Amino acid sequence: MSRMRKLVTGLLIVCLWLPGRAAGQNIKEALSVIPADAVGFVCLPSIKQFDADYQQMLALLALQGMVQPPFNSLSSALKAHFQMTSGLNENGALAVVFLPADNPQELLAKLAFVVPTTDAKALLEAMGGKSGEGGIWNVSMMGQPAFAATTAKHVVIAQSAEVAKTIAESKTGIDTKLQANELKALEGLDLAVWLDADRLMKLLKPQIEGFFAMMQTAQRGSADPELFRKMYEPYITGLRSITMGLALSKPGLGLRFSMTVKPGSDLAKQTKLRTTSESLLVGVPDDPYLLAMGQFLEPATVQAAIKQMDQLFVAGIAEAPEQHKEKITALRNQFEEWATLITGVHGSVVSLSGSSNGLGALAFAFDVTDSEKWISAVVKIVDTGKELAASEEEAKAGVAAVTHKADAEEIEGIKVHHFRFDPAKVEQIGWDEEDARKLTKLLGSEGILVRVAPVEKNLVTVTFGGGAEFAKRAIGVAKAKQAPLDRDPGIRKVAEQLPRERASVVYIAVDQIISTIREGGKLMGEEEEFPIQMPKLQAPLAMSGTGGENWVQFDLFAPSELLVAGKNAAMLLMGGGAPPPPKPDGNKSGASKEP
Amino acid sequence: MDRAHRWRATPALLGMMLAPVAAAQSERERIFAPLTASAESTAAEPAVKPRLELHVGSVSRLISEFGRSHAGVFAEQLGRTFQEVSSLSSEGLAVESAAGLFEIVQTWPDTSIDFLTFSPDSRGRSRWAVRLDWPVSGLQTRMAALLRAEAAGKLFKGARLTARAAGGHELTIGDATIAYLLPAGDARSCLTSHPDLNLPATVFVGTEGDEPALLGCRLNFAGTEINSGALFSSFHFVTSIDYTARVGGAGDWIEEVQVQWPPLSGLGAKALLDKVKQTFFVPDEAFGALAISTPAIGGMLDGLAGLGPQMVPDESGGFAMVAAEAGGVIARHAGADVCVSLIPGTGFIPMPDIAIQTRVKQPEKFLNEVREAARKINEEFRHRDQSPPWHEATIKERCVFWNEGSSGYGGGMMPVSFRPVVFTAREVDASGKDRDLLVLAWTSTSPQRFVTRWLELPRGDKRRFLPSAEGTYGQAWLNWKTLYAWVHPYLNLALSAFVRDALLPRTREIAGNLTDGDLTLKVRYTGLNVAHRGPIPVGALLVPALAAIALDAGDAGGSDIARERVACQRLEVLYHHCQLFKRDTGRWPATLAELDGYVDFSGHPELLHLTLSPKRQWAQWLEGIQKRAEKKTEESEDESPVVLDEKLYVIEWRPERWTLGYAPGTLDHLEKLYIDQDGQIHRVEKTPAEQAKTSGAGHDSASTSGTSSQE
Repeated sequence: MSRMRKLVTGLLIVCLWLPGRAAGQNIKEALSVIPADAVGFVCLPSIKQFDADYQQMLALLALQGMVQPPFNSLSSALKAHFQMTSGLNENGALAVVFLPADNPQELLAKLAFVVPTTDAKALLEAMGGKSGEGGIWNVSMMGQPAFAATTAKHVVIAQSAEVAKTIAESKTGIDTKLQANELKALEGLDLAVWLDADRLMKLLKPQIEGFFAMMQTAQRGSADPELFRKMYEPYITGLRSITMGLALSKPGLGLRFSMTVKPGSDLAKQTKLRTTSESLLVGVPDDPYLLAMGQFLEPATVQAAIKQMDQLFVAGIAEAPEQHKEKITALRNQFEEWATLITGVHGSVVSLSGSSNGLGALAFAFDVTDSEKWISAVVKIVDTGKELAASEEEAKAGVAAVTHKADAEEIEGIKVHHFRFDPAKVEQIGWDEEDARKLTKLLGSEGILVRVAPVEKNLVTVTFGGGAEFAKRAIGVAKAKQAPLDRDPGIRKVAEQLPRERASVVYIAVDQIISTIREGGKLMGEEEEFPIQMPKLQAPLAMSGTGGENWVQFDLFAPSELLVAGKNAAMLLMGGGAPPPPKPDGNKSGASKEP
Repeated sequence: MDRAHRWRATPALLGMMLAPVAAAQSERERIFAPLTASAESTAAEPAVKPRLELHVGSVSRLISEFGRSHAGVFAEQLGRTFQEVSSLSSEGLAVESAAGLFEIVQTWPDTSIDFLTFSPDSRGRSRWAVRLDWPVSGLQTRMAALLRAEAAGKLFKGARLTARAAGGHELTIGDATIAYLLPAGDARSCLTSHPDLNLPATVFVGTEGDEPALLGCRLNFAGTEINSGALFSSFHFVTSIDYTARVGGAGDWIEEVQVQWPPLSGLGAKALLDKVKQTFFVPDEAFGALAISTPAIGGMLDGLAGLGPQMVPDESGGFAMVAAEAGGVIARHAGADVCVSLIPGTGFIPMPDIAIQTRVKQPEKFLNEVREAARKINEEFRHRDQSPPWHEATIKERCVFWNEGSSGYGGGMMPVSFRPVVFTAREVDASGKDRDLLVLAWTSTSPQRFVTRWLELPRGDKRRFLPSAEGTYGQAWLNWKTLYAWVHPYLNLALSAFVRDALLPRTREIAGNLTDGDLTLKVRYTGLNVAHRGPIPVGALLVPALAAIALDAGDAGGSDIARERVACQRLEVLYHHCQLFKRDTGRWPATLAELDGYVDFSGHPELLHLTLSPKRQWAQWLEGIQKRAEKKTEESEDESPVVLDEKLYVIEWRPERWTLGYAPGTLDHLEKLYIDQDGQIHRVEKTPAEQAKTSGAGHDSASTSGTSSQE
């Protein structure tokens, strides 16, 4: 227990204090000290760089006072807790390495710290180490006995002499084994974690099986207790490796998750992506956005994903009443037909501040293989859904209020379909006048109306809210193949921090979301303003997905401005630094003085 | 609050009323020797907010307004009842003496009063002050006259006022100083527990429009102690509670309670409570009613009614959980708005019936689902050889379900048993619209009787609806006339046990003063507002409760001074046992281990442990050296004996000087804290440079460097 705690503590310290941009640091050089047959590692390319970046982030968030020495510096923490007071190479890479093990219990025993040094002997002596036979040193790490072996630039410390020696004598670094996309995923990270998922899955099979057995017990009585296993089976059998990491820099905080998959596996089929270095926001209007996104879809990938989801569908249909099964199957097939017609989605959720057409609206441009077929599929889904819902007595009235009208209006020369819920019938679904009033305020006088416009044979625009005026804007932008949001200063700034080749991108304007919530409160007649505040930022939260042959990568970037504003908002929310809440009655300004 | 703290808090309260009570002085002196400035000097604590701020703008106005209020009229009637009583106390507290002193106090000129309490000092002693509008000479004269009175001699034996060299006066009983009489600027004076207490220039007053309130009281939770500076340590779910009161033109008390909190708490509170949008019929004969809106109410009602998951005796003699799937009927159908009415009972023991109304949109579907759920639950009970609890009948042309409970013996003798009854009713709301309501009631009589009675309760044109206030988050109505009439005979019965022939005024005699009580709630992001209007002031209970909370010394909290208080208490406990050791052996102990036997370390392991500041706890967690705590847990599970870990303490043992203290760096803000052979506690502040250097490894250093030394 005690040994485990030490190891976990060591890992924890490494994980907590590791980030740091390895500017100019060659990741291959850092990885060359990790043996090629390692099943996993946590790597910090440069201790010094990490300290600089970490302290910069603390200063940015004004948290220096809250984080006391030695925890405000990795090198100080290493010196204070591991007694590495001499010979530590702060410019070097620090790593925690896991060697192959025969069972999960053995994995921790196969863990080693690879510490960069300028003088290995000095470092080991500072740690109280004593030289032993065969170049192996006996050292103490936080009171626990350990063994150390040395290389030209590193000291390897492990629980067993054999592990330390194996790593020290390793001639081939893991940099020679990793694929080009894996090496690329590790670049620019302050803290990198890599796991050989294939070997770890095999090693952890008994634990995974135990977990599934537990889930099966918990789901006893459901249609398919094996459902959980089936849902996750592709990940267990198809994953090859996982890479994770974070990067702290002046512009902000970046997180990365990447995985490589086995060629030909089900997972490979589900994760195949089409990427581009061009804009993914084509057809997205330039209204103030809460969320803006763009994604390419591969019909074959969608089909593979739907096939995987069929596990859920089969389980669901088994529990459905007999008379509904046919309709549910039809719905599933119609959904597949609809989804596989899509080759890309580009859209946004926007704020319509100050407009009479409600608080916000949605606009999505779908790249499709055939717009008429696609709209026809939508109509079929709505009709089947209505038929299914109408079998419930209390839903009949609500279902009757949903209508579809083809060619309901013409916008920009395009005949637009209307999918509408009649606002006059809200009472039939149990809503009262107050609910209807709020709905009108939120969505404008049109209420629930979705406009579907077949702009071209391969392009459909869908808008919800904002009235015909907003639909006109969205159709206009889509028709002209414009991407006005690419000029948005916030998006431009954060997009630079994401990979250039992308399959998907999402920008979330947190400040705009908060501002819209506050405005919504006013619109709804709330007496008080929503208590979370954030200044206007040109700094959205950005996410992207990219990939290639048998690999995918997801990046998240939180700009510094957003981190600072978020921290300030949290402090205000907790009352710290916030102006005192208004007191209904004052304090008496007494004339009394100190006695 | 332990006994000693309670004792020290007492003069603070009585001091406010200018009537300090003499108590076991020698006991106080023995346990709490006064803090004496040592060679290293004691540092003054930085100014902090008072815990309690109580302000009376004018004592004479308060008395006259109380007399004018309904409560004052009732108190006067009550006073006449007790006129013939000569003594109430079995401890010899002479009522005549108290009355005699009150007569003297009545002659004093009017004044405002600020009563303030602060967090206890580092020795755990209560700190309080009473500020008055008189110059200190006037206060001294009046106090002296009071103490000279014959009545005072009986009540406060040995109390005397003496002049201080540093100015002002001291009120002492025996050797103990009870209070200091000091000037408080601008011809004002104060009575304080500590001569160096920093009184704030402003206190909470509370206003009614432009006028100050009759009485204002604020209990501060935030800023009353110096916090340790750790992240989030300054966060309080509630930052203060304010109370103001005045008497309305008709004699009702108009009171307001403001619970102030940061917006984070406000978000949580708004998720729990919402504005009440529905209005509900409330019978005039009810004792009271409460309308409230909370999304969680449905699930609670299911559980209370016996429609939710419940434990049932099983065949094996154990218990089984049943109705897990059948439950949730009310949660599925009930609205968030509910009205709880308490109506007089009609059983032999007149326990009130409780009726909860909430809107149901599909009454037929709801009843069908209740029927189905009841059937499933009954089946589960039958399966376990238990009587099926749910029954159904048609009463007044509607389906009524009730739960008789199972035949399983609950293990207790109850004078009454309540049955949950479920039915639906159609009522007109305040806007004149017919609404379907679910009525869930608990009655001590038969369900049939209750349903019939409920449906036949008078519903005139001017029927009562709740809430009557718009935009409220909750409203309560209290029918004092009915309530008083109900409790009147029982109160007289109870009173007769203490006062022979005493009778409370009959309802009809004080009917004019038993006006309805009304209480409304408003939840805001910045606080909760509770407004009350009624004949009885809730402040009569609330203000003493707030004062009691304020005077509670509490355990080691998130502040340096709070941890120091605990540290001092531990030193004093150990010192007491060191004295016993010295008496037996003729010398002071050289190690803590020598005290084993004198101190029951197994029974009081807390003596070997001091709670660290949150900052240090974080540091420890990061270091992964919480093994001490883990070891302790493992040992306590094994019931193995406590290992005497002396690392927390240092004993310095020399022929001429003996001290027992904490290892250096144990407390964040102090270099040293120790007690000497004379029982005096010494504290040595850290220099600013040392404070800056304080790191997470502080306690560890205390652990390693803490060894006893002997010359």
